[in-house]
Amino acid sequence: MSPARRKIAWRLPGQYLLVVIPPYIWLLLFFVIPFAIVFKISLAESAIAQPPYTAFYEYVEDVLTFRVSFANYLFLLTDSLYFDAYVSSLRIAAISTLICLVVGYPIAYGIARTQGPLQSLLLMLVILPSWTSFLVRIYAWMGLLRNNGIINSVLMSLGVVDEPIRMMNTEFAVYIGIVYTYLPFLILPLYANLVKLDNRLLEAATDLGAGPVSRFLRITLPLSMGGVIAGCMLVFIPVVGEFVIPELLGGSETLMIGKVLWGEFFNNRDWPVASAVATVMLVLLLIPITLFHRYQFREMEAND
Amino acid sequence: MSAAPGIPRFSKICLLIGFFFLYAPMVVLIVYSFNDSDRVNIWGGFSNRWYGELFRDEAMMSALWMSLRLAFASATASVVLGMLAALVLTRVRNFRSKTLFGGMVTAPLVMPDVIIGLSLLLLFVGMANTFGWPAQRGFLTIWIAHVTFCMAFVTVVLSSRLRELDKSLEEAAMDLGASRLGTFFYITLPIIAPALASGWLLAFTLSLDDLVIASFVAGPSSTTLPMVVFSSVRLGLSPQINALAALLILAVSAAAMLAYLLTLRDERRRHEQA
Amino acid sequence: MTETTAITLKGPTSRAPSEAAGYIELVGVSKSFDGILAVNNVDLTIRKGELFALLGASGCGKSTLLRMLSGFEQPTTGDILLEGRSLTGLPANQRPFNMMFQSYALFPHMTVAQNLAFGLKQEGKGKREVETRVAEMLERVQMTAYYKRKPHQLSGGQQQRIALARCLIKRPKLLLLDEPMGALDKKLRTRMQLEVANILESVGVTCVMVTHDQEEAMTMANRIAIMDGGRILQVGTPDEIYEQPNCRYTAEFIGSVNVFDGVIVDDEVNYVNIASPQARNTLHIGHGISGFAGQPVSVAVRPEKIQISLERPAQPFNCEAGEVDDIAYLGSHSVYHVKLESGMDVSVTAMNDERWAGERLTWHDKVWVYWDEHSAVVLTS
Repeated sequence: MSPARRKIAWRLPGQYLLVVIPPYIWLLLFFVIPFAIVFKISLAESAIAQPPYTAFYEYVEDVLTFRVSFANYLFLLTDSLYFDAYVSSLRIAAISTLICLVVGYPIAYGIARTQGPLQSLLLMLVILPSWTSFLVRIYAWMGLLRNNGIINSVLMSLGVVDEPIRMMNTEFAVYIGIVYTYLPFLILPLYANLVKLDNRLLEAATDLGAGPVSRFLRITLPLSMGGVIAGCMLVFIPVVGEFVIPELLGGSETLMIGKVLWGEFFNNRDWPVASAVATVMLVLLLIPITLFHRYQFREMEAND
Repeated sequence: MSAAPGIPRFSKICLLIGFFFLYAPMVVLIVYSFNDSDRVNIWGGFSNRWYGELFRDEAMMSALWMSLRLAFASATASVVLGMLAALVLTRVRNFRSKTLFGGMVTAPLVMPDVIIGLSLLLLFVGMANTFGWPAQRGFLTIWIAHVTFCMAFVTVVLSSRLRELDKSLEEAAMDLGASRLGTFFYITLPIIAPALASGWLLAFTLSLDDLVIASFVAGPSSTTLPMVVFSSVRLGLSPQINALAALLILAVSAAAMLAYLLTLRDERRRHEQA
Repeated sequence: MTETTAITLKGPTSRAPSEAAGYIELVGVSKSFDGILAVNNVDLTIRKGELFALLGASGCGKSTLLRMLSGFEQPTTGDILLEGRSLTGLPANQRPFNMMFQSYALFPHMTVAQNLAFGLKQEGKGKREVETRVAEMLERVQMTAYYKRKPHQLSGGQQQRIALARCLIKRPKLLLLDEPMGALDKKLRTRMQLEVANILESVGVTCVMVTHDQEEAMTMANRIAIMDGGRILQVGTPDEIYEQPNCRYTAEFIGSVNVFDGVIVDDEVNYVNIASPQARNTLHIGHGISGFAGQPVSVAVRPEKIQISLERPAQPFNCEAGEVDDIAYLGSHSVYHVKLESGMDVSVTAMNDERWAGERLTWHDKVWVYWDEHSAVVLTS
């Protein structure tokens, strides 16, 4: 490496140091290090103390002793509640992601194919609900789904059913709540992807004899795969850890790991077990998060 | 209003059903907020008494004030940090730990709230035990938590805008003698101002909306509006919450409308330039 | 320059590059990105007052060279000198050079006047001076009436004039033009080439432009450098480049050309004879080239330098028999593609200098093509 080259290599980051350091330090301190602490506490034992867990290390007769316990993880394995909660979370997240995709794809496609100010308006109408309070939207569904709620009242007064259909505190209500809340998160990246699709490709495919189904399956879908993955991950990952929706709409019947974690932490005050639950959840989500990151990072970084 | 001929009828039907699904519950909510009856689901005539009761509810009002201050502070800080992070992603050449940086920026977008909340609380507890700071959890700790996850969203908004920005504009400014800082303040910032504004609004609503993370990192004395709403909703429906919900929906719609008009103007201007 | 263009000439009426030593010198300049050489050991001298064009296909390194001159990139090795002083390490905002970008890069949030004033304000010039110089410059590019407009309210040609004015107002020691006509449509391009050349001439600024369009380079530049693969292949005036290409790449890049591959039979002071399997008769050039017998060379002949006729010409060399394979009628002239007996295709341009001249020859005519001993060029690389 020539001297000139070395000089430049030193200079460039120097000018940007002030730009890089603040967000870097912030995220390191408040996003990365906390995970390390969660992992550390998941190896401790619950104790009646302030804070309610045993110390990671202590001096026993002037000797530094680390206290590492895998008891919490063993506990998660032995008690079927946790296993069932993980499985049920993953299942609910997967099914609701699929529903969102089936409902959201045509909507995203329709908006992407619209032109002019109408397109921006439709897009805003999709985003708008996600800007209003999340709690308020879940609350609105509580009013609709209850036994004496509006849907049942209407159905009964129309004589469609004789007695109210039980919808609240079922998994059905959870699915409604999740799809309702997360649909915009799937539509947005998908739209951003589909709007870039060159219409001439579809015309070329038509010219070459492809019908609408074949056009969709062989041109549109493969080209929008990036948006599909990003959108699905934006729904799937947070839903796995969702707490509010199963708590308010699912009742005691729905088992989800976010609710379990909340319960361990706030009701049982067992911080080490809550940490272990969080650690396992994070490990389960590592692959989807990596998938999402690869797409998102490529989108965000200047590509030249 | 001309729908392009390219929209399949199937998509149009999905759009209609989709929008009905998205908006019907909110419309119902707003209508019932004017219900005179004590029982939420029986129509007892038009009244705005629940709005009056809402404003007389002191706990609710102080929580609202707390949430608004918090959202304002979080949005402002996350726009500053998000701006820097977006600059790092789009303007700084690759450095060794850029991938780690990218991961830290994107991960909060999808990280489940319970994990962020729990991990930050444990950090604050650990810090309090080790350094004696933060001695109390409250506004400051919630603010830190909100900035951390809002910043990720702001970064996404700003970096996509920065990426679209013609780099030769910044180069031209430098070529004409401006320093890097001068270029940023005279050229980059004014041009991306609409994106900055919508990033700020997004962060504001995200902070205003957060229940789970705030519940973890809040101290006993600090209560945000979502926390009050949640504890009341948990017990069942309350007409007062209906009124609050209606107000929130209207306020957010107004803000979103503003943001929409801003971006529309910005887009139109950019189209004219192209 | 012609009187038809609207710009009044204030400076010298013709460009007179000083013959004195280099004004800007590039010494062994190389640039590599991630180990790939974009610019490879370039030596170049630019004279004061000239309009110099870097011409080449995309990816040849011309833009990287321009960005090194502007200061946006630093050379990996080598040095760039301005009047003998090194510019290495000096960033773009401290160089007395200004660049007109291909996209013009006019600041969209500023008016025309604010765009022009920007560079002067960065120098810390007083308000008075900024105002007078902006007014002067607007006058010079005839845009005074538009000073309050925003860039998007201007036409393409007007935007270009403002972009140019924004550079010139700084009185740069070197003006860099990146594909100056790249953003204009073809009709406007021809007009703006003259207009820009006129403005530059009236100011008398030294210029380096980058282009992939040979016509643009030939019209506007005093000297041209042909680049390929990060190297400079040839530097010369437009007619030198066209009439005396020094290698096959240059000959084929500028205009069209017929190339025969062969070996030297004999090389004397006043002529050289070359035998080529693609030609039945000897290729004869009326000057020596100081080669040696048996040396492999190429002979390049431009289509317009070749005659075509139904009768056999008198000369024993530089004449080949063939058959008309294809005719492209282009109005002012026609291009005949003749298949020689050796199987080689030769293109010949003939002016249609009388009506129906194009009908003299038709498909499958047996014809002779021939050219003068001074019409061909011998290429050794």
